[in-house]
Amino acid sequence: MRLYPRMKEALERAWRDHGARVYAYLVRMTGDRTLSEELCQETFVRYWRHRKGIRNENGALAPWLYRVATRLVLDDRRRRAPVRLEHEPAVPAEAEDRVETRELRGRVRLEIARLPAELRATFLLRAHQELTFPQIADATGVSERAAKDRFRRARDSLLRSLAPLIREIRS
Amino acid sequence: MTCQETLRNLTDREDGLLSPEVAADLDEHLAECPPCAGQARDLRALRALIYEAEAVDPPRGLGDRIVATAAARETFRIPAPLSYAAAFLAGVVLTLALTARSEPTPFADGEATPAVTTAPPPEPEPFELSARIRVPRRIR
Repeated sequence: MRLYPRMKEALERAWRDHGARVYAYLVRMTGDRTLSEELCQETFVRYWRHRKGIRNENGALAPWLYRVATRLVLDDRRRRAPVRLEHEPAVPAEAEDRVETRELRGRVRLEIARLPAELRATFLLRAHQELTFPQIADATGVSERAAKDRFRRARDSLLRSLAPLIREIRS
Repeated sequence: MTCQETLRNLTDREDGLLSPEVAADLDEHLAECPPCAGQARDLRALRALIYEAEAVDPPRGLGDRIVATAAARETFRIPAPLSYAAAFLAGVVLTLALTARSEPTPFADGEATPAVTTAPPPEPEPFELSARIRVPRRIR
């Protein structure tokens, strides 16, 4: 079945406004580009199927998309073995990066990947996707207070695990 | 404010989680405590590193594939008002059909309705003795 031009335009607009960010979030969550593509597609198709019940004003669509994307990742992780990010970097290193920078980025990715999934989702939604805490609470299905608490735990865990590396490289 | 609280509050402030009053206490402590001020610089560098989001671009054509998948999964749905009207009409038709079955068959216009005959029930046939009844002698 073909989509009417007006309907097609609405879906394309949602993809244009949020697609790249949702895809990037999925890659950071899973460390797997192929899987992220599949989950991203499912996220937007679900948006399309439920579009009439979704408020699309005041930035309400973004938390809805991240909520679906997060749920898809968590459900998928229960079905499959965890991704081994040590051997499959989520993002290829830039050629011009210095060795230290590449090493640091690799360690940061690894430590983020080691976080429990709920903490990782909260951290990424705040630090990389730049959602507000009310939006994160909406996206992850917890209270705003719980979202802040999860974020602090994730951030403090990363700071603790990466601080020695920073000191080592600086010395 | 202790040194341990200072470091925690420092990152909280960067993340917009600290009230202005506590933020003022934090600045006061950092100004008076050189070790904390040094650690604060390290923390800022580390925070910048872990918050740095590397660019991840979606594969070319993913948007088109999404539109195609959405179109493939799109199913025709009858709008709600129409489905209510269809259900109502079906109910009316069913009621009419059931009512028509329970009524006598209508006659065509102009055709005389046959009179209902109320004929008396047929007389029973006279009973005839086919054999002679034998009466006992004592009664005679």
